[in-house]
Amino acid sequence: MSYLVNKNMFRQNDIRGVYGKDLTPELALDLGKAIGTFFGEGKQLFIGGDSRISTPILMNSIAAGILATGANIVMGGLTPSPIAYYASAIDEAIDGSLMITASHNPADQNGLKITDNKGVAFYFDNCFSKLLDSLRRKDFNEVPVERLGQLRLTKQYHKLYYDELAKKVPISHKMKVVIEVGNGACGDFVDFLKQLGHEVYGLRQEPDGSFPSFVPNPSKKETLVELRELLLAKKADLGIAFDGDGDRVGFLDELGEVISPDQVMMLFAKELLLKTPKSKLLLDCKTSRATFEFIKELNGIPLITRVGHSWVHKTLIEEKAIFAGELSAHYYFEEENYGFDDALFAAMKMMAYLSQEKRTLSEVISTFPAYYASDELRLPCEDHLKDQVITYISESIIKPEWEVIDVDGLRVELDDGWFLIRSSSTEPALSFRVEGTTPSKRDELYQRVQAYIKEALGALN
Amino acid sequence: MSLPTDPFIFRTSGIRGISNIQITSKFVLELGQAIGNHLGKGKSIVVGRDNRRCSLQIEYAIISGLLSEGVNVHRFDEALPTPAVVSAIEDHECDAGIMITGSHLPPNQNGVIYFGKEGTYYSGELQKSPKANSLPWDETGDVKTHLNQSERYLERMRVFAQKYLPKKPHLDILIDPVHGPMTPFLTKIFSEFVRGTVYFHNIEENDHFPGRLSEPTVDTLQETALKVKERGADIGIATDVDGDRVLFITNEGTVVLGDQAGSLLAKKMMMTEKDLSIVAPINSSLIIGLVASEMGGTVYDCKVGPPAIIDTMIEKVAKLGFEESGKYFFMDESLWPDGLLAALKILSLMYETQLSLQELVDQLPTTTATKDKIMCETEEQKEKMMEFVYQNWEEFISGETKSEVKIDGMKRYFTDNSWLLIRPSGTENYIRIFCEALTPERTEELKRKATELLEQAKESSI
Repeated sequence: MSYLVNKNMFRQNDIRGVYGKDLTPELALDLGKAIGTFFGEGKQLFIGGDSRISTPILMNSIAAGILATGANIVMGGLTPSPIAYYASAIDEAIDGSLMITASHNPADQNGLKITDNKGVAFYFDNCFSKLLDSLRRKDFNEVPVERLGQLRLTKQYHKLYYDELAKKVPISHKMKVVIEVGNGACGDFVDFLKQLGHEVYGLRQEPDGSFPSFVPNPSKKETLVELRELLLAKKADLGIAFDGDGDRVGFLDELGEVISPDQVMMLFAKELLLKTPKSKLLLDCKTSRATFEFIKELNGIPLITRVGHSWVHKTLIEEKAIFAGELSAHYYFEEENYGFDDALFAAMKMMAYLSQEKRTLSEVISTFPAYYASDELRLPCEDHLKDQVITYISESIIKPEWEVIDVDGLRVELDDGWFLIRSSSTEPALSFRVEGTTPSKRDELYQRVQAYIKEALGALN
Repeated sequence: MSLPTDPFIFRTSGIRGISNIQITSKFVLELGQAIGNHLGKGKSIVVGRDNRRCSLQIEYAIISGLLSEGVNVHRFDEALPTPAVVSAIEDHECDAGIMITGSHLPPNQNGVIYFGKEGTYYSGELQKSPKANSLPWDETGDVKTHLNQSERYLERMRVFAQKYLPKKPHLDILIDPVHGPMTPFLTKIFSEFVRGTVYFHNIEENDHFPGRLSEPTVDTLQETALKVKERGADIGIATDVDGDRVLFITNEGTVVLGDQAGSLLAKKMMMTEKDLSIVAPINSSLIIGLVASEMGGTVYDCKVGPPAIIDTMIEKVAKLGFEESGKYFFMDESLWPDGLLAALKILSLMYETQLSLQELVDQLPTTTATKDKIMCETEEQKEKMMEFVYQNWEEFISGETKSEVKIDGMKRYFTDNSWLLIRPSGTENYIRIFCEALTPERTEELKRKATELLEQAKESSI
């Protein structure tokens, strides 16, 4: 039995692969040894996982590998990502966390996210590249029997997390909410809200890694269809949709309309800046210009960042910002929470906000400025051409007088809108988003960007 | 000690080896896949472990292998004795069970025992899974962690305790579970069902087992025996780490041999069932034969090791089986050995007869047994030597033959009730000699002649 290491599994923010093809039980065993070697003998790691069918296999293999290197394990079993991060952030005795999840990827895939002892995500350069190297060379620090690691099973951190969440985010009155769990790892959140006395209706609350309805993804319409129906039927105040591992959350207002993450960021920013004026807030490069302008008007300092949870969290700490948001519906609260992307915390914050607000969510949102942005779109492009296309557009198409932000691909700011072209980190495609001050400007930009990409591809071929 | 990896060979007590050198996580992962493949997709299995440091790592690796073959796994959140794990097969309606334990071996060794649905031991070869790592994600197995298995086992034991000790006898007991997971069960059951003091020895949790070697023998239990005498306890109960073996110590501080304890258990059962059938391996003492013939029972010989004992018990519909190591098998209650159950029965016998354990042992026939071993270099030489033994037996060994058994080496019973067994070891490069007689002189004679025979055999095999 042997395996080939697919280096493409080791990505910028996490490790992902197809179970049985890239990620086999045997590779996972060695990956566990590599992780144990990376952290070191005697260290203690929290392990959690999502509801995927292959998660227990990988969890058991990785744990066996870690124990072989003399590192110890606190085994949390089925766990939302933020609770894994939380365990490493609050407990001095925990040196890092591992989350076995492929987030919203298809059910045949799985993967791994790793944090340090403060719940800060590791990324390729400071961790995954080392694991890859260790796997390729089969270079592991395996210890003698008497120094093998020890393990304890516990749900202690789940309990601590929810206890703290209830105290930290008080909700002033009873609310009616509907929640799409999507058979993922966040089913306990529904029961938690019920215990707090709220009227809660959960959809697909039971974990089921075959995902018989859909793989939960709050950015996809199919995840929100049934939630919207239930919300309208129950006349609920709010709809909440989690992804499979609880690091992303989408919201529906009381009319069943999807609240764009651009606007969710505004809502959170407004409340945070009231408490902590003149603070820095981090927005990813896909975010609407309206959100940047809104924060400036509130005397906040909006900063733009690359996408990806490990990069965003790192930048959040470096910039001493109080909040970060990504269009993909990750929200990070540095001052009020622990700085990692935590969908459960964000959902509680939204409920707390609404509980103190006389207006409905749709009424609040209607007061926010808005431009006309497209969804995030993708055009197929072979991996080796992605960067060349962006360079070509940068050098041959963009005019010198245009304002260009190049933190992640190219974001070009024009008087009547902006466009962003970047290479997708997950598939052979270029990703782009445009926003216009009017619908026609948006449509015009949309056509222009497609034409730029086609021109670049034509020139390169 | 070498460990074949392809195929996996389960010997009389599973697969064993040095942890992290022979029993590595990779080896165990592949073993899990081989067992999963053997059991079949969709089947379910219980996986338990003792409290050795290395058992945890094996548990996680073997479960990964099982799941990847589509087998559903029931596991526990704690270390458990072997009988608690085997009885869980029935509790959770599983098709098989795995116990990870080094049993009586030193702390640096470990092993895997594979049980069938009825608690029978798997022995033989298992091929590596031809589809290892290739089952699609949606056909893989699921795992469930049970949080109260110790309570279930305790309940099971309470039923037996109620049956055997309904009157809660006044007995002072010293328990020595050698730091293993049997500790809480011995403590609770005896505190609840015996009036008297329970003394403890080697009960502190420590996965290096500092108190003594795990294997209970006359040698390893000397300190425990001293404690029994010092405390003035009525009985000492000493298990191995995983609690399937148990030896007893009398009120006078004498370690009762496994064959003697087995014979006492036979006596107890024959009080109500005269024509009891009993299975004992070929190297067992003649005591059981004498006890059985006196009371009307029948003893069936079998090969050494639990798989053969259980198979023969099923074949002969025998209600009792045992081996000298301290494993006792009860067809009606627990086909797998359970040290606590055996202890309950011995206490019950003491209560019913109102005799001390020393008095009960003194009532057994006295014999002299001895054993020896002759080393050989290779498997081939071992075979040649055994061939020589079969052909030249008559020339060397004197005495009128009563009967002869050739199921595992050569055993001959003589009309003076003595016997001699010459058998090749199943795991090591030795040929073993066992003999027993009513007098020390006859025993010594048998051993001397057998040694001469084997030395001649060795010479001729070179």
